[in-house]
Amino acid sequence: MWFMRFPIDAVFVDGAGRVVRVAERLAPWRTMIAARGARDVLELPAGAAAGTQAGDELLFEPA
Amino acid sequence: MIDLAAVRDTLLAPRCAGCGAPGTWFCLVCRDLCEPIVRGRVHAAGTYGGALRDAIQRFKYKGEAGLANELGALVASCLAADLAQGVALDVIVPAVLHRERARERGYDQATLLAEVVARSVTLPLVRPMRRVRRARPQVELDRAARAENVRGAFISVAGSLRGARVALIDDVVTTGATIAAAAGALRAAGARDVRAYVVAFDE
Repeated sequence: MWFMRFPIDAVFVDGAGRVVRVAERLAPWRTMIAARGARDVLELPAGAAAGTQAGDELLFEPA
Repeated sequence: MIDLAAVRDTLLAPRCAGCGAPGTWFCLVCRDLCEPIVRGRVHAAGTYGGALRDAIQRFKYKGEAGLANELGALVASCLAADLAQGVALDVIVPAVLHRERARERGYDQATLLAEVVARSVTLPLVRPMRRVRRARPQVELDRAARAENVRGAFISVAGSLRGARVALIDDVVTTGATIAAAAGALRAAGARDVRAYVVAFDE
C-alpha cells in the first residue's frame, strides 16, 4: 500500500528528557511498542534516530 | 454557551463553497457528490477536487473556521459507516497542527474537525499528541535531513492510549507521510489500532 512506505523511528524519553529506548524502522500503522519509564514518545522519519541511544539527552522545541 | 455557528450565520449570509447556493456553507447536493475512498487504514470522504477542494481551501486558508461543521459531518459519516459495520473505535484524536501555524491561522483545522466528529459519533476526543521541531542546528544536516527537520515530528504521551482503538482525524492526505507519522506516534503511545478519517485524498 502506498501509505505503508513511511517507516518511522520511535524514541522514548523519560521526564528528564533522557532517552530510555529507541525503536527503529517501524511500520507506523502496524507496530505497537512501549517502554518502561517513558514519559513521552517521539516519532521521527526512519533513520533520523540512528546514532541516538538510551541515556542520550534529547533537545526539541515546540513547533 | 454561545452557538458560534448561529452567530456566524447571522453575521454572514451562508453560501455553499461548492455551488454558491444560499443557506449553507457546503450544501447537501455538493456533499453528495463526494465519493468516499478507502486506502488501507485511511478513509477519505472524497477526492481533493471541485467543490470539496474549494470548501477545504476556504476552511484552511481563508479563515472560514465555520466550515468545520460541514466538512466534519462528511468525515463523521465515513466513520459512522465503519461503526455500523462493526469496526470498534474508542477515541477520536486530531492530527494536530504545529502550534505556530495554528496561531497564525487562528485555529487548528484538524482539531476543529475532530471536535465535530467526536460530537457527531459521541466518542471522546483526546489530544495526546503535539508537534515538535528538532533543535539540532540546521548547518549540521545535509539537505535531505534538513527537509525532515522542517517536517517536524509528533510527540505523544507514552502509554496514554494503551489498548485504545483510535480514529485519527485530519483534513487532507497527500503523500500519506504525515498521517503515517501521526499513526506511528499513536501506536507508540500504546494504541491497539489506528484508522484515519480525513476530508479528502489529494492523489
